[in-house]
Amino acid sequence: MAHIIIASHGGLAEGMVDSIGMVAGGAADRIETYSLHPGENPNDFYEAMRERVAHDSEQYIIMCDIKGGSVHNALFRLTEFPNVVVFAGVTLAMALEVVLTVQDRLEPDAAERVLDAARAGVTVSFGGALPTDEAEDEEF
Amino acid sequence: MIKLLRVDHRLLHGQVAVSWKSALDIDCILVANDKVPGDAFRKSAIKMAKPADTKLVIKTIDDSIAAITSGVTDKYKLLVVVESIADAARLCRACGIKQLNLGGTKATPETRSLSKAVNVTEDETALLRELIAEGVDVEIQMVPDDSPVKAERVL
Repeated sequence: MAHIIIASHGGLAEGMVDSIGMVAGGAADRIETYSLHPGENPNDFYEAMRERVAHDSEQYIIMCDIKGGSVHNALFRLTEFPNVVVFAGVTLAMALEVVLTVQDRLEPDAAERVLDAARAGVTVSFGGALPTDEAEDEEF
Repeated sequence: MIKLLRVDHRLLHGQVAVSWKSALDIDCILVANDKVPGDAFRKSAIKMAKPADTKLVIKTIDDSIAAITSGVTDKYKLLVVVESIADAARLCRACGIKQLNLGGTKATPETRSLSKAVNVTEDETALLRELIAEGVDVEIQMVPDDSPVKAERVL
């Protein structure tokens, strides 16, 4: 089974796993977390992960909090290994899509679907207007 | 055919819908509720929670019963979501549904807890006992990943 890791600055990763557990139950139990705390260097986690992924045939799916942040910068370098996939800009929608759909391996086309789900989950609605019901009510 | 009749006080919401959809291979969701069809904001919010490539139908309880008993829903792998145990009982009795999933009901001063997410009043306890006596298999299960618990064991 693929390893799933959420990596963040501070406690977002643990918090996200807590939230995923509320929506997806025990499916959240397989997620590992990495939280960068003040005074720590993400390269230490990178070095530890490098050892792990180099000696494992399973896939590692790593979701980082923000593109270009120090966590992402460090862990992105793990993509030198073919069994590593690194996302940036994790959202609850993205993480749920991964946790609920990926078993042994995430293929590139499925990764695109994960990104689509994450993008589709980012919206804005302004108050003061009636909801624009773009979709007609469906019938059987 | 009805794959699952679920009681959830939050009705259809985000990834709970997605997790049941993938677990049971659902292709159509019926939200059966007497208030939602007339409430543009709630309807809009529920539509936002609809998983991709799934049909979503929103009807009153009576219209839902009419649709299910007419046979037009037979060709779908249907998830029916209701807000309350009372609404679920109406559907069970009118449509001969013999399986009921309790996903979530709100805790109030009048309820006692049957599980982390399921809370029932005395009236609802009595109603569930009646349904079980009528042969309905009532199970408590918030998400597919949780193990189902038979309601009669905790009522």
